Amino acid sequence: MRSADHRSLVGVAASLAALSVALPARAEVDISGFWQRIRHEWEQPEGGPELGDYSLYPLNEEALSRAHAYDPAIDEVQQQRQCWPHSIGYAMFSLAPMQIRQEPDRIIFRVMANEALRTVWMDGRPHPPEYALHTWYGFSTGEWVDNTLVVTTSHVKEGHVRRNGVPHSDQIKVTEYFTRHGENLLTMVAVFDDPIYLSEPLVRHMSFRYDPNGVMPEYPCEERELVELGGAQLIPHFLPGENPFLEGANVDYFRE
Amino acid sequence: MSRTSASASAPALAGAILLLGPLPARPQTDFSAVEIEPYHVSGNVYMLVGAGRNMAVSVGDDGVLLVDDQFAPLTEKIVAAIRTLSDEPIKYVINTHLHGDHTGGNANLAARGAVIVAHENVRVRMTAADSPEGALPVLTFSGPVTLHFNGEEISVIPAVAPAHTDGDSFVYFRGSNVLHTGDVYVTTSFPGADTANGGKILGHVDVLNQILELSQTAAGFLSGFGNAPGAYPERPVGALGRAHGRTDTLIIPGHGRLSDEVDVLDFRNMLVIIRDRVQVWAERGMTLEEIIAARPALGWQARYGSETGPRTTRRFIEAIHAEVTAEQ
Repeated sequence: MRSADHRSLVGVAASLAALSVALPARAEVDISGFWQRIRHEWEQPEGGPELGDYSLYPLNEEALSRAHAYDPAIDEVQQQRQCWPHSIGYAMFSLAPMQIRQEPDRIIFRVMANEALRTVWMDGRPHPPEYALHTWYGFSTGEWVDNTLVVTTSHVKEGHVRRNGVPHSDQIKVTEYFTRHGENLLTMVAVFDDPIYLSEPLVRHMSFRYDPNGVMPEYPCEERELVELGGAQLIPHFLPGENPFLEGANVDYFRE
Repeated sequence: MSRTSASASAPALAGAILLLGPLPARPQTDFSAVEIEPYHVSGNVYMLVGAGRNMAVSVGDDGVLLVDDQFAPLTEKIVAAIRTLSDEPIKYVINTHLHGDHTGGNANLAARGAVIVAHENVRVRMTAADSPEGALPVLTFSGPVTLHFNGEEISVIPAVAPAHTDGDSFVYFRGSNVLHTGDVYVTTSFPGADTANGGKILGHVDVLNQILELSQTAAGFLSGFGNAPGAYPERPVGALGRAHGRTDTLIIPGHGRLSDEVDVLDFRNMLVIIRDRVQVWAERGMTLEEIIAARPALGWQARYGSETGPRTTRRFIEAIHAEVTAEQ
């Protein structure tokens, strides 16, 4: 049933793309400005989701193995992780506001997480070769199809699609559709294709409300004292079948 | 560091990666179809990509320095690729380890006047394997050595422990802030230890930690080599630096895509978690076959695993099992 939901969402996205292709391209739409996210029914609770809560995510057994093994303590004991940005798998779906700036050859998204900037190239340049560096936000190109900005992203570093250990791989490809509806509403549909961890495309959506007076909040991130738990030889994780936090969780929902 | 070399054999020089037991036959590479592509990494340093392996090349007024030289039949293509970057002579070739897919061009380039540089164990093992005299490193080292070349310090740093082999080295281009790791770090497979040439699969943990330490210390890199954790308390942290717009070390793996500290950290974590699974299950009395059946690499098999070739998932697990049970 849930899989059918995903397929229907993929169908919606595909129909949107097909409809867009069928129409002549128009001049770009102004989507610049400050946008507040509109909360959705599917959003995670404040403080992040519970361990084992992977509902609506079409995970294969490789992803489930990673998610079941995830111990949040890894973020506490590894100094390197403490100020990492969210990858594209999650950053666009956090609760943070977003600021967009349009330039002739690019569109720049500023998301609050670590104040990082995400560039979408609009000048027709190709994606780099596969052996190029992969980054948190990847390499993005965009084009206007009718009134929709279609963004294609590759070269993403391994990250997560949910803040409870659900991974995406460095082979993920993301297609996003941004559409402005009137003055105040911007919608985004994102399709994640990950041959390593997803059993079928993951489709997510987000809506934004225009806020002409918006101010980007600060995102302070300070290095905390590294907790010594045996040094780099010790990586917090749970052995298969031994994660106590998964008891009662609906973790096998998508198991193949 | 072990210098035992009696068991070294010619297949090792053909790029063999012996884990446990005999190697399956490797498919022949059609070198005529291989293209060598230069890709700018940073500063003076380019990555030369071809035949699934990565070389690094430094170009500048002092000449050309090459890290690894792949297979002998590819030398002309490699030189042609370098000539798109520089007309200066190739003065140094540094081998990150002894395998033939990284040293195969030594004799050809030495004949053109290049000085071949490698860890002393590379020469020992190549000599034991009856490599031609012209292919042998003529400048060897057992500790860190620095070349002052093309306006920057280029440090060749031995691995702190046997890992892929017992003669692994990194090449760190300080000014360009680029590190070539050889095959101790790859993005295309699980780690592989050539046990016939002194490699140890779990030695990769220490060596990957060394790479992380090097990349973290890169911006503050002075006279040390970053092997001692905490040796540089004022060091900028790489991933944090990237988040705040500072420059990080770019890492060229022996095989696969250009990387940075975060990628190496994920790779190290993967190895440690799989090691822990195998070790705990072995301590609980599970046999090797029971452990393999329980799939301890699940979570990374689709990304790094293989059922065929020299680096299968099974061989990876067998190698870990052999080392953790030897310690028990």
